[in-house]
Amino acid sequence: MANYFNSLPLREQLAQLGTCDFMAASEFEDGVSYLRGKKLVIVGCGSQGLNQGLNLRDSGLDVSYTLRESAISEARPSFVNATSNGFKVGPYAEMIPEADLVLNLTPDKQHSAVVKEIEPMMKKNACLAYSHGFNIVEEGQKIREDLTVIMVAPKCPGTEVREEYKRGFGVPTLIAVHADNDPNGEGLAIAKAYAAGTGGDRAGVLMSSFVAEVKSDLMGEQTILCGMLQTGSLLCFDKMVDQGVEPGYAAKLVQYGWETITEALKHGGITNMMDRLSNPAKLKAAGLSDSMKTILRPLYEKHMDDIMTGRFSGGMMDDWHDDDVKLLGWRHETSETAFERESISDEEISEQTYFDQGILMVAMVKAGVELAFETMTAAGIKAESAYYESLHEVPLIANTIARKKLFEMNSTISDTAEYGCYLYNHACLPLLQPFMEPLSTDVIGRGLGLNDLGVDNQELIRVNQEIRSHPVEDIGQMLRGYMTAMKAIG
Amino acid sequence: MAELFGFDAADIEFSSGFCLQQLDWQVAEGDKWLVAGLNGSGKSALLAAIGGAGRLQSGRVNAPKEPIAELSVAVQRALAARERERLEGGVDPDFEDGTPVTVILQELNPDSDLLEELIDRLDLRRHLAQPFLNLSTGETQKALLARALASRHPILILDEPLKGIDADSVTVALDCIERCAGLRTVILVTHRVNAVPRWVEHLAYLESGSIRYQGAIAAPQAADWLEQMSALTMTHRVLPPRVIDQTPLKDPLSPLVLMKDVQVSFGDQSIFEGLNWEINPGEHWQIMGPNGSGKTTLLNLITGDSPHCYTNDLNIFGFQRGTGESIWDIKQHIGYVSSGLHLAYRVSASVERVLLSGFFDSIGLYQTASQEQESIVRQWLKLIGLEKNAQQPFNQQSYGNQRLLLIARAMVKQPALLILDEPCLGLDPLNRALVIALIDQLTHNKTTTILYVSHDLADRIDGIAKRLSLPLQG
Repeated sequence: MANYFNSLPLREQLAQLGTCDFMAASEFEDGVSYLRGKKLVIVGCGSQGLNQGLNLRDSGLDVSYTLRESAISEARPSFVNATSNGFKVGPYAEMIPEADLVLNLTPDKQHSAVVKEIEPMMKKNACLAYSHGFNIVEEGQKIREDLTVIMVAPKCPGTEVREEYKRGFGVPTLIAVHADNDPNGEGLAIAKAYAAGTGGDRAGVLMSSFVAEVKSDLMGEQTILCGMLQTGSLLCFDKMVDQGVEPGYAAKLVQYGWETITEALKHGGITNMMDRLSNPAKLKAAGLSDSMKTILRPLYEKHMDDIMTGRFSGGMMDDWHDDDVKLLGWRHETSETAFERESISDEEISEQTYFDQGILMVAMVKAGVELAFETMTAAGIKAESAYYESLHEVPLIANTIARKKLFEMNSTISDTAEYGCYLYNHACLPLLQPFMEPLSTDVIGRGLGLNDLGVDNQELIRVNQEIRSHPVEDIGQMLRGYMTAMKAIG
Repeated sequence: MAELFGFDAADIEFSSGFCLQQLDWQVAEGDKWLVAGLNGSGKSALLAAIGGAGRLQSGRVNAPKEPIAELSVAVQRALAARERERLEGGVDPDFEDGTPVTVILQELNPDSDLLEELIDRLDLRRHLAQPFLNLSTGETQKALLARALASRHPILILDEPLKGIDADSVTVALDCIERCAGLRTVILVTHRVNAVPRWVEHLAYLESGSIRYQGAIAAPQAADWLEQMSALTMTHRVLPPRVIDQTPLKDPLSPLVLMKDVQVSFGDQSIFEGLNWEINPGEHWQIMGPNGSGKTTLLNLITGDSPHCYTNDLNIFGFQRGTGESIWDIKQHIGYVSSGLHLAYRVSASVERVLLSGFFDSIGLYQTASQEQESIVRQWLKLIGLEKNAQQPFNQQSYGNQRLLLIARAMVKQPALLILDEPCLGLDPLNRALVIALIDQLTHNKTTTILYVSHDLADRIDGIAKRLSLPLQG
């Protein structure tokens, strides 16, 4: 199989990368009707599989599951997930031939084998759906010509997809139709009904392409989202302990700090996150962020380039075939880090304190979000995609660290994200060492401790202007506006 | 003055499950008492207890030794039942068409002169020959008033004596009562606490089956209690309207809920086996049972929040579950409040928007509300006394106010099925009384059927007749 993206002419690459448009709510007025009465069969019952299935069923659709024989006979967690929720479960040979829509919600790594096995069993003119297009774009899997191939990608973990649905809302969702597989021209209708069935239409749906979703998703998760938060956690913790901050306190500041400061990001972008700092702290953070952006820009560009050329996915697939030696090795290394092993103190830390004592963490989020966004848009990805895959997802990943540090983050994200995260981490740590060297607890761990919060007017105006005029703030304001128009809470 | 009858630390339980608790009340000869309290507070139970009803659990009852002349719904019902029995059984050959009013009026050993006077003043003379059952509501009430007042029985119990009497006759009726009260012992029950007759001397104020105040009616505390009651009863008089074009039920006459042979188990633990249950429109239910007896599971089967909805034979609002309906098709006919919902309701929304979300069955508001919905919400906020908080953040309200708001949120639709799972947890007595009054009001509303889960017998609601006790036996 050859990388699908690389097989496209440049104009097609650009066109597909540049697809991402906010869809009007009126496009979803028919709800799930296009799929009503059709048989939906989900392959895999992990977090996305189970939770999407629960939503689709509650929306009135006929949902059942299919798993490998061994998962059924050994009553693995996926089997228990499906049966304890009252779903019908059967092996491929029994379920797939009946299905009008097969939802492949297995991990990326299994896609190629799963699709190869189920494809011949699928009935003529059925539809195959993905929630992540890695298999199509990076592995270049060719799907039978009579089958429709679509993608519906909720931009949140599966548990969130369910929780938001139960509240009567949903999560922002990207949909796409694979241009090579839309024989009956019904791909879009199926994707819209599927998105409505998961509740995605209530939170906003973006018309994307397989290529745009995959390339931006990979870039976001390995740089700002998981990579930066992991590297930042380790650097900040080690710096504090080195400077005499009590380790339990340092661990707590990092573990909950990301969640607290990115909550401000969620509500009002980089601007609001920076506004939570005092004026001197804001100037400090802006300066640190500038320095890090200069140091890290080549790294972000390298990640983007490797993703675009397929070098990244090639390397990862080699590791798959090598029994995940690298991935498992890195996973073990992370579990052994001082930050991961430290138990956190009971000391109360107020919400504002996380900002005041975490100036460096704020700077890292700002640098990472802006760099990822700039690099993606420079590579031809639309600002909408770049926003969702950078800024929008940071608080969601930060939540996982708040739950159980890096272990939880890495077990929640996909193996693909985890692999990319380690690549980033290994390159980023040495790059930032010299930058970290002179820093002290005033920017991480203790705060500036100033009695006089005075700053220079011109300097403050310049920095505020810089923050507010960044393109991620423009698109962010617009997209958050759409969301609140629909969500309208607060 | 000597005690005529009374109770000492008496706990009395009634067959309905309602309890009067720690009753300490002494009535002396010639006393004039007003018994007041909200609906469901135990007024009728107290009157019944004077007549010897209920089972004494502890304490002491000094029953009255003198005969009682009583005017109450219970008396009216008993007379009507007796009449129907006579008519059906042909027991009374003298009066083929039923007992005439004049005979009914003579039954309680009347003072004839007084009776004649009352017949004239209450305009009953033209009805004397009519069968009692043929009287209108107001005429029946006037006849029973005359019957009680004219009797020579020294104890007079008047439970809402003015109920159903037209406005023109009220003054005359009050005048008659005052004239006949005289030296007799009178127990008056009325919700018209703004105009307590001047001959009343004492107040007994009931709340949740206990006397919360007893003493002189002229005392300032008495005025406080009556004012509170007046405020609550005034407000619950008028419920805000329903939204005009609310989606109707598929068939308003068929069962709201039909469960057949329902099986639910979690792992090895069986919760229900062979459960059959039917809820018909207008049939209000109270569900009782200890923790873990399956109450929440049962409610989740109705609301669609349990995966077992899809593995059982359930018909909810005419939707056979698992045949293409969505949970939102179900939820649009349900108003719901529970501690679980309270826990889950974590959004930064204003009080007003939380109430509006009740129209959309969502946690948080994601759709544009109509002006009509906004107006209805304003009226509900006024009704629960929180109109000033409309624009404040919901999550900064007190726990009790949050609960009250979520109850109102469940009610704004006046849904086909209102599910209240321990709604009063965390409410202070005043708000608890308000909520009970609202529920009571809704039981009279033909469009809403109530499913009420409460462990607290004191929160019993008169209009809720059906009971389901969990766990199911056998």
